[in-house]
Amino acid sequence: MDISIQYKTSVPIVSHVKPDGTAWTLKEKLWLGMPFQDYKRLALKNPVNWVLLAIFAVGIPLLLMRYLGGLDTVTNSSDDYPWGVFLGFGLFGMVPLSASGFLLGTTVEIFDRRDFLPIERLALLNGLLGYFFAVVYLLIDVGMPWRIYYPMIISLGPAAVLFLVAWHVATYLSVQIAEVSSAFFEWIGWLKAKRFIKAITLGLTIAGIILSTLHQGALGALFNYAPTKVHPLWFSASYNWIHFFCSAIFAGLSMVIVSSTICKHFLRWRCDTRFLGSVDDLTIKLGKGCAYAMITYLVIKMIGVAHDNDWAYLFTGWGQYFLLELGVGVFLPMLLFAFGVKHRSANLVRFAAFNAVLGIIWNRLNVALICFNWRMYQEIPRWQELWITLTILAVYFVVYRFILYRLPILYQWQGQR
Amino acid sequence: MKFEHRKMVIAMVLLLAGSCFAPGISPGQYQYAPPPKEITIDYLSDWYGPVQYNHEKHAQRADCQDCHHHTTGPEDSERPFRKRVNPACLVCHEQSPPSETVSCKQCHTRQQFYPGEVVKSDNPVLYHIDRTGLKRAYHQACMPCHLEKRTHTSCDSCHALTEKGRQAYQLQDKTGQKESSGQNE
Amino acid sequence: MINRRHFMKGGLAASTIGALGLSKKSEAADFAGYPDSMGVLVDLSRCIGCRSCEAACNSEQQLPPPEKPFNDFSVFEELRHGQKRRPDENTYTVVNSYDPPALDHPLFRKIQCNHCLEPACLTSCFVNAYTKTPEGAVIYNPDVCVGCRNCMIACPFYIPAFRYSSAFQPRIMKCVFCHDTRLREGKPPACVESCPVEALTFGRRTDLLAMGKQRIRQNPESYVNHIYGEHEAGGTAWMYLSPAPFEQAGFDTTVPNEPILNYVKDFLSFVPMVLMIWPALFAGFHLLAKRKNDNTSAATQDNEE
Repeated sequence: MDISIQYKTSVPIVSHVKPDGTAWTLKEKLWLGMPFQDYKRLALKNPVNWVLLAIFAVGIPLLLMRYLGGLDTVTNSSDDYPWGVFLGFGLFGMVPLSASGFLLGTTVEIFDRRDFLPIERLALLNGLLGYFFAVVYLLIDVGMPWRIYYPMIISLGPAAVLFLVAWHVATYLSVQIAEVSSAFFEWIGWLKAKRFIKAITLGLTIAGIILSTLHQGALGALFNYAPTKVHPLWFSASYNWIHFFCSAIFAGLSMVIVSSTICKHFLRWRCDTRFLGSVDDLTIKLGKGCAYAMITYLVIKMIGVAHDNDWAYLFTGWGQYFLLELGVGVFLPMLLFAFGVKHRSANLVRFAAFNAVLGIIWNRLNVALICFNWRMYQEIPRWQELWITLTILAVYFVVYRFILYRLPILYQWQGQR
Repeated sequence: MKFEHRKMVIAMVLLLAGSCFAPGISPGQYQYAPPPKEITIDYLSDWYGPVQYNHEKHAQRADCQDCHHHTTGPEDSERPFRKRVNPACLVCHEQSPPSETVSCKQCHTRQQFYPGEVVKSDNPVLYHIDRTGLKRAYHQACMPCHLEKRTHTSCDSCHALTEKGRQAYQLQDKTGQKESSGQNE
Repeated sequence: MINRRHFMKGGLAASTIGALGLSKKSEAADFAGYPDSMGVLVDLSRCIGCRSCEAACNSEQQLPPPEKPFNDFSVFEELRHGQKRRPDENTYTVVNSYDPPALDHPLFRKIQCNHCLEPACLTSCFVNAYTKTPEGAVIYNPDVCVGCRNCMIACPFYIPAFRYSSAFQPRIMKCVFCHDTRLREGKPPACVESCPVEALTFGRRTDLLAMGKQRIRQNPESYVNHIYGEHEAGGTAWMYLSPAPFEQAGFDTTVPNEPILNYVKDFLSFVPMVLMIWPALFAGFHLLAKRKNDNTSAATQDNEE
């Protein structure tokens, strides 16, 4: 929906004032500077919204069932497989993809790579929303979500890895909200608040990288609790956490490439020339980072297999599956990244990024669900569980889109900054 | 020893040995009252009712010692006493006299055996670290033979369920409905 | 704006606080276990599969009524996903029947929480919902549980079950060694008392180990020379003797001989290092990068002049 064609002069909104000098009201800002009826009409014409509506039509009743009837109305309620797709995809899958926040934050603020500035806010937003919705998935999966704050103040179990995850995710969410809030403050015109955030940005970024290292690793360390249950090729007592942390690096970078690609194509009206002019070059640079992270990951994976002397497992059926996952999910995109960077083809890098993102999701689902209880029967999730996962993903998409349409993420605010 | 004394000793030994062959008496057997034909065993009744035990019938099929282990009964050359006893017991009890009673519950207590008893008893050489309680003793006396002969192998074929037992096992009552049991939650 | 002086001041302050070391020496490393910790020895050569223990547990713990009565033995044929029965949200203990090739008769096994000495469930719980009591029971507090089910992931014996069917009061369901009703007063759990053949013997764990070894010594052809639970998962309070190899009775013999806790110690010990080193490391990177960029822009400025 290219609003700029229909409303050439007043939208997209890029500053506090309209072209004629009067200020935009908040409501006008929300409806993108057009009358609400027009906004509604445009929204209903959008086929993407029809798909979303169809998803919600089934998903919302399912969510009600989950909360009013209990988890066994929508999941397999398995005692052997306590964690299902909500955590396997929603938490373990989305969190590494949301590592973009700390990665780009570190690149720009710590390593002083100002060339990445145009894409930094998108990466931060991606990170924030990813973590936020990972928490939403948690609130759906956990038996008593109204008690989610218990490990903070009611009853602490500090020796548990999950304790670390809980505290870090909560703290890191605050860090990310603060980082993204500068875009919000610009948009809404609270410049004092924005300046405060700018002053503490370096501290926030260092906090972000500490928290991210630990909790990305901790998600891997969670599976250290089940040494007999995860297949040996996906389990390494010493390296689980490194595997998860290292793969989070190229997961986050790839996700930035993926979102920037989607934005470049479908939100072109919202992007400014600074973004559009640099996105291809930045994509290639990110691709370079991904390739390095991937080769590191592959080496550490091999060390993990060697350390536990699991070579014999490579010759089994599970071993072939393992090699397939590494080959198609990591090795192939790594090659594509390398070629793309060498021949300066942003589109090849983009394809590799989509590949890598799917590879990461596949890896996390393997560790958490498919190769879990490998000596037992295989658990197939119920369609209700999959549909709810899709529903929350749709909500994530809607929120993501809502923010991108309005806040100065893909464009620079022309008003006071 | 003087010759006369030696003769007396030999005579006494012969007399005693001869008394072995007196009918109904063997070395180490006390004179017990004849056992009742039927016995009601209800000392431990709780989930199950009493056992109406036909002692006469069982006495015809087995030796006394098979159940009242090494406490009573004539020696049998084909199945001597030594072969029916756990060799671990023989280490100390090979020469032990028979006990004064045939009743199981005199030695096997109602309370199950707990190894803590051994510690409490203050006896450093007590080897009975594994002495069974009465419930097991009852079952162990009967079950091995019954399993071998394949008769009366279900629980209620020897003792009927009481009302309490029916509730404990969550049995359906005669109308086919589940009987009420403990609370939910 | 952070400058070198502020950074050094801050770093010095942080290191001093860290070095003062507010923690005292850990007592956990020297703890040898509670001396009167109780346990149960389960002798599979005695179990006749009567399921009285299941009935007693259901009654004692006021669990919901089962689908079939407890003296219905068709449950031994039940399979779910190709697996035999396991404890679930309504059942703290089950008895299963196995046909080991080494024996000519079925072997029965009672499954319940093994009340490990260093429980994995306790280790993994981030709200401290589990406690290993001095009497030896591993008990659970439903009032702090959030329902994350990490304990179910951690337990190597697949014991904790979750009451998924409840929307507002879900909780973990597992054997609690009859702690509230019996163990606290030194009494044996209900299942032990109900067993007609004393397949279950209650006592101090140390005494039970001695007793179990004595049984094996006195009847070597009747038992496999191993007490399952002596070392598995770091040692459990409920231990097993078996006349047939343990794998043939459904036991997982690959459970490691160390507590599951040991598998996460390496990662957890890494946390303080990251917290201390990362700030210095990345502040350092930042200063290096800034200096490089300042030099570059100064050089271009010089060139332009």
